[in-house]
Amino acid sequence: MNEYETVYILDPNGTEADVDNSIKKFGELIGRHGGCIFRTMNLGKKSLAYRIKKQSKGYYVSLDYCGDNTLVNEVERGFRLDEHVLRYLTIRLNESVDIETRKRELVEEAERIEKALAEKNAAEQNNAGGEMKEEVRYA
Amino acid sequence: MPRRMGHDRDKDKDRDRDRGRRGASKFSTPRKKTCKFCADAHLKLDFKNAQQVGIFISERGKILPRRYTGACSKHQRDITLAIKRARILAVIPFTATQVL
Repeated sequence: MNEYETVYILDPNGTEADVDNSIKKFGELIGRHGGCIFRTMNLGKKSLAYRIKKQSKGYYVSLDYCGDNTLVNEVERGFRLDEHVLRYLTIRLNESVDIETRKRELVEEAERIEKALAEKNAAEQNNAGGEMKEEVRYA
Repeated sequence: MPRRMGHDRDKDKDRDRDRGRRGASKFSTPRKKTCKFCADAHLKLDFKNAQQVGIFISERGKILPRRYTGACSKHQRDITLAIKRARILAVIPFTATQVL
């Protein structure tokens, strides 16, 4: 089992609900072919650097999953059949991953990022507090 | 550049060193560049992030060489790969002439 990341761009004329439906659809497709989804991300509507299929905007969606190489063929076939998909790109992140350990790793990583963010926010608040005090001093 | 005028030997040394360096670098001390990806192990380059990848391309959309990015050869390869992936996904342009 390899770990893959697929990023695809959806038609900007759809709504957020369409994006969620699409994620669900491809999630089921992956599950049906013996894959396991680690995480899905809707990166939101972004403007493209150049036009694709006469569209200058698109919804970016990212899927992290693991499965065999045959699974990637199936998923990419799904993208080619879906006319709302403007562009897709699949990259291999890791080879021969164990599902359980990888899931645990991802959870730990998320916790680490949250912690770092919290620390950053706290530091910013402290800085703001310091500035406030200085203002008080000057006043 | 510290140059002591009184000592001829030092002057000669300076001149010898300057001969190897050309252009603007002749007048400035070489800056020690460190690869920021080596310095911070948690820092990962994400090809989906336009701001992150965008700092490694020129105005014309070309990949910047190592002497501008300051990356080590391993991480310069990572940067190149990320830029090429980002171009496919229209995160950054292939060329500056692509008009919307």
